[in-house]
Amino acid sequence: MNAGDERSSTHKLKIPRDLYEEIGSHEKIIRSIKVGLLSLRATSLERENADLIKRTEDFEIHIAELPHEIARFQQLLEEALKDRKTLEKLDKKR
Amino acid sequence: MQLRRSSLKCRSILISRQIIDLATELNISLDPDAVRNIVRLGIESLNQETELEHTLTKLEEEKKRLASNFRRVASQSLQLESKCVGTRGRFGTISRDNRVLAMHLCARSPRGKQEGQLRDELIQKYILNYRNT
Repeated sequence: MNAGDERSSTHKLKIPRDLYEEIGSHEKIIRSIKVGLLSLRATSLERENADLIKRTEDFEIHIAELPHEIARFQQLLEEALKDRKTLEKLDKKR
Repeated sequence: MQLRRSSLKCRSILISRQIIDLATELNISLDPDAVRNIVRLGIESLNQETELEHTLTKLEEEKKRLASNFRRVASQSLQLESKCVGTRGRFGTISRDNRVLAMHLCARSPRGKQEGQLRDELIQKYILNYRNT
């Protein structure tokens, strides 16, 4: 990275003077901001992952229930098809 | 609060693009009050920058794996849901047809005891006890 790139990739940030004086070092402040932001990012990712796990579990519960539901409707359908044949047969006899 | 903010004395420092990007990604403003909280969090954090970067890499990898698994499970659920809706729909259509046919049967007299019994059973099922599933 040349000097021009370096300049364009840096930004000014306003730090409360009392905080600056308390910490006393520019590098320490930069490091604390970075660690603070990285901690927040880690917390955010942990939440996102927990949310994905929960949503996956909800789908898995749904997946476990669906085959029974499909089998139930399949059985009802087969019965209804059988009844239709009988009903059609009785209807033709008129 | 407004008075406090306006009277807050600040000092400008230069920070890297990486910090701006990280704050943007987290949707966090970098005003002096927010910076104060972030700095406190950074000081209180038990982890070092390298440890956190390592943790973040692992969490990002975990997120990719979980997202991929979620997509697979969601797709499987969608397929089954579609099959269930299709079977239920077909059953509903046939049942309604049967109800119409059973209504036709009501208007006629059965020929013989067996036909009469069958007719009564189907009328009972598709007219008297009929309910949409």
